[in-house]
Amino acid sequence: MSAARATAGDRSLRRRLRDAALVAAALVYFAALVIVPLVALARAMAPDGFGRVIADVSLLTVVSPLVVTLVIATLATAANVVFGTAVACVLVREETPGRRILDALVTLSFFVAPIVAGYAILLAAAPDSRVGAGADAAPLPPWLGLSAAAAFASFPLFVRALEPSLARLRSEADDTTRIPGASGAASGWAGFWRVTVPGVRWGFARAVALSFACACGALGAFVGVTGAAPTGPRAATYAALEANRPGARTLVLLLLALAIALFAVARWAASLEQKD
Amino acid sequence: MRALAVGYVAALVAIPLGALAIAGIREGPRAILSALGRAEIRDALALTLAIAAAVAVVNALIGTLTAFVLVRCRFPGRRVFDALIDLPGMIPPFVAGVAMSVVLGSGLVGLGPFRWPADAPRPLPPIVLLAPLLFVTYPIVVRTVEPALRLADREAENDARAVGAGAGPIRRRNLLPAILPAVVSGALATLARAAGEFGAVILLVDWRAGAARPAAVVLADSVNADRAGATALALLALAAALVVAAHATAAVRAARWIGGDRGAHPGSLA
Repeated sequence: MSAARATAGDRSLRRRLRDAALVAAALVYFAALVIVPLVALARAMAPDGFGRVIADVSLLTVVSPLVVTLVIATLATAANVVFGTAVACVLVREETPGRRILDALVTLSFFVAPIVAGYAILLAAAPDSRVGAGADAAPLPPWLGLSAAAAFASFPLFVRALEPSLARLRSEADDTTRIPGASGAASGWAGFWRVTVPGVRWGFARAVALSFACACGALGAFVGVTGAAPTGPRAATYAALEANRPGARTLVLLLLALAIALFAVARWAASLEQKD
Repeated sequence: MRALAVGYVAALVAIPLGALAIAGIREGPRAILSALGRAEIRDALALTLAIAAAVAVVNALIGTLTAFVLVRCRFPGRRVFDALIDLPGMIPPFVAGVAMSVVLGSGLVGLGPFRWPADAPRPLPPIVLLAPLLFVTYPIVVRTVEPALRLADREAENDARAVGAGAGPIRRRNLLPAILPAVVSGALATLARAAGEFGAVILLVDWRAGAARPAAVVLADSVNADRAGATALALLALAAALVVAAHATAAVRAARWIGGDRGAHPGSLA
């Protein structure tokens, strides 16, 4: 009897030790991979202290790429908000002809690398010209090209982030109230604004933050659509890549700060959604 | 609503990818194949595949471990850790690449003068490409396996209660088969993401002539200089994406089948 209890105690002790080792391994890996490089980055990007960073923020070489990034990310996210919401609404309905094809295309767009997406957009708009090479030969306005590339890169994230919230709303709605808006009828639109939008607002906020963050950082998509040496507007990720650009480090820091702010928004929205 | 959805997906996804396929046809299969046979592109593909596979394997292991820790273990700071998991996925890959080049390039973390890598190209071995890719893909497997693990725990508890057995041993026995599909699909998504990543690796590329560079970097270089090469690489990436997307469900089903098969021999994984 006491021997059995001792074995049980041993087992529980061994499990506790094992759990502690696993926790330590997971935490050490995360710290080494994520926290240490980010801290090192923040220190290396502000070698002369943060006073210099604040002075840099007024530089045109910092402001203009930042504005370009924000405009492109806003355009891409706006497109995703309008059309991506429609896609997510169609996807959470069960029996629709073509739903599976739509779902397959969303999955495919997730697996297509942003740089390939950007290049495909370039080919669709200008099969023969080289957008980066000469402005006169470019039928694709650079703003449109960059925004479309960013929209492609962030589109599957937006849809997949919004889908669970819509699905939950749908399953919560009882049989008498169908998901309004999904029906497509005029009354459906009214219901969409009255029921669906407030019902998924936190999931929606989270999807917007994810999509915006992805669009801000979509360097691969931008390079795919412009080539390695763009002549038009430069997004912050690309501008920071240019050697010896004054304020390049500040640009990196600002991108990091923007990403952390969007991450906080996404977490906040997720925690509010859990409470609802 | 449906018209908006279909129209957008057609304009944003289907038409560009169709244009890519048409560009491939216009180049001709011979030009595409000869481009893919060039040493530069062959090296790029071999390097990309090796690095992406390594990232997928490491993430499958570490991600599963992390999900296990988050679901099963209680420790101080668990909620903070849980919240921070998604952070690396939201940081621009390029910024992750800068962070890694700071850590790897200067040798000492945050110490010594930082040199912008483009100023002083000091070629690093290709294995350093793993670092930023592991960074940006970190959340994928964790967030795929975590719900599967929670579900498996809940189901196993119900089963155990149904047969009146202690929950412990039964839970342990059924754990791996239950989460294997999620691990596989997370690893596949990681593979795809790591293989196509550009921003994360651009600062760590070895620019010396003859050195292997990631396929995304070669593609970026070719967009304006070498249309046949760029189109060939993009078509290959599209084909790979089609295969992965089509087989994502098949692979998960296979993993489930393997899992079910193992589950039929109780104790084999205890």
